[in-house]
Amino acid sequence: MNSTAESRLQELPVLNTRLHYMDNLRALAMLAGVFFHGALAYSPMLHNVWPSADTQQSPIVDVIVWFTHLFRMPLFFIIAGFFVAYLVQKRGMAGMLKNRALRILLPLIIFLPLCMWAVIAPLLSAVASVQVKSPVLAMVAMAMATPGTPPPPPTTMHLWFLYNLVFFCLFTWVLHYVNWQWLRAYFNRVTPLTFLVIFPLLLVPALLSVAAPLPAPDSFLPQLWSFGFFGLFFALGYWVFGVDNFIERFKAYGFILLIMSVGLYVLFYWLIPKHISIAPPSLVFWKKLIVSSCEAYISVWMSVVCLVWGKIYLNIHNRFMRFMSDSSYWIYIIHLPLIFALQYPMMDKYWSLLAKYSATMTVTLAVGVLSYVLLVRWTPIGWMLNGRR
Amino acid sequence: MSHSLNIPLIKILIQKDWYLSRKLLALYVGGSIFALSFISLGEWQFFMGVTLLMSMVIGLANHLVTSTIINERKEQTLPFIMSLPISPTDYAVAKLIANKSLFFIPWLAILITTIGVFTFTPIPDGLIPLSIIMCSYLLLSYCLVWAVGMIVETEGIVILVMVVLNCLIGPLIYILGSIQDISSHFQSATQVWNSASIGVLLLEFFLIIASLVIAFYLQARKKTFL
Repeated sequence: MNSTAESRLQELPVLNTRLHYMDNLRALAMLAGVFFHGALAYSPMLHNVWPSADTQQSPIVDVIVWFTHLFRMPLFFIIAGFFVAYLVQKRGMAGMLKNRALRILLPLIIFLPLCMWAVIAPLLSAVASVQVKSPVLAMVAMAMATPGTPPPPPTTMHLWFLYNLVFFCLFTWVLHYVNWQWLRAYFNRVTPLTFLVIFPLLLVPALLSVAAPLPAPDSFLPQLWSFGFFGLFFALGYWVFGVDNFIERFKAYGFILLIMSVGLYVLFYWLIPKHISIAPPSLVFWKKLIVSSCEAYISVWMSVVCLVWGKIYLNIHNRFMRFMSDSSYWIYIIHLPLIFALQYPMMDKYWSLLAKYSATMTVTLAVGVLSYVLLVRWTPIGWMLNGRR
Repeated sequence: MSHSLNIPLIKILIQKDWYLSRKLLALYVGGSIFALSFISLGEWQFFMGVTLLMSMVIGLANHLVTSTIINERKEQTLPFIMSLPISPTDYAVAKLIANKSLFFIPWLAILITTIGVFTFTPIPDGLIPLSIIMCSYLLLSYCLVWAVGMIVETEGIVILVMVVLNCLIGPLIYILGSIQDISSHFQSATQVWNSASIGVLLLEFFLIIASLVIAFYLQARKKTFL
């Protein structure tokens, strides 16, 4: 068993101190998701496919949200892989699987049906009550008026990341029987510059097989491209845990990577379709190759920027940050039904985009925080999500 | 024949089989997830994914019997087990629980996933009875191979039974397709269970139980392991 990843991880000094910057980065990635989903109602690009799409739209929303979209979840999966490696080191493979089953699988099983109901109920209510319907609401209204229309297949919605994480944890167990020594030895020798050039190329095949900007792999059928994209970020996080000073090696590149990512994003945004429909438009191959390469490089480079700057500026521990870190999981789970429920009634209001967005975010975060304090933090739900205090 | 089971030792034997089969299980679980992820890619990928998924179930079944029963005799593990204070009945119980749990959990996960795929995708739900019958056939095949392995403990015969049962998959699909009461509902939007499909399913479960009972009875009658 000496050749297994588990045994090699066990050779590393046990990590006893809490990595606050990782906790805080994870919380920020989750909360960024809340802001991301809240903004999609005002995105011209998603107007045809987002249920609460509003008449108030701005291309600025698209420019901002699609940039964050490219590295928010990749960063999250790097951190998830990192903590899974930490759990393997601390509790062994069986302990890791048990822990992940409790923290990921159980919340998925419990909250997915509840979230589905909480998304569908306001949707059906909105179909009946909203006057200025979004294209999706209009489509649902038409489908409801036409008997025999098959319902859309259920999805894992915004909890797709939990569903995918379950598979990644299973793959961690499956793959730990393989001897990765040669690959680890190779990667450990790789210079930061080589990593920044080579690693994104591994992600391009997966991105070529899906529409741009990359969709959420929210189908109940496991998505191969998700394994080849988010799975590789998860594997990267797992590997980063066992490498000395991985993040420090990239300190000098932080600012330049940000500038280059923004440059690539300009090209990416210029090439992608400005309006997405249910059947996304296909790009010619050379365009698709450039777009997918831009996505791959931006997602890696910006994730590295976040890790480097997170370690410098977010390695802080205080009650507020700990509270945000603990509550972010719960807030993320409940945010989407809340956002929809708040945005449907606002679709008929003649408020400005900023007013609607601010109101949605303020109420969503307030309800999220309050419900966390009152219903979750000190209850079995809190124990399930964050462990016993 | 009054005999009380040696529960602590049976538990250890089950744990032993679980431990020794962990890599095998990991391989087939990984392969099954890969097969599932292939299904959603398109039309020919769907058929390839389903074939791969079935191959994973068949492979796991055959591999488990070979590694936990046949190899135990071939690699001289059985003489060591004979030195333990257990009877052939204890051994049969341990093998039954270890093997069935090792196979049944992944098999059940695949069955549930298969039903989920048909229910939640545009593929006609009318194919669900056929899929359940086919999944049950794979369980039946596994139980028959296991029973033969337990009774004869001969590699050649076990391989022959494996081959015959695998060869029967194609004819079974053909026969089910030619039964009008079953095949006429393949393209239905809803699943239809009638006397023909229920009858086939009940026959499969009867054979599963019969194979297990016969294997267990013959094993329990043994006075020694040899």
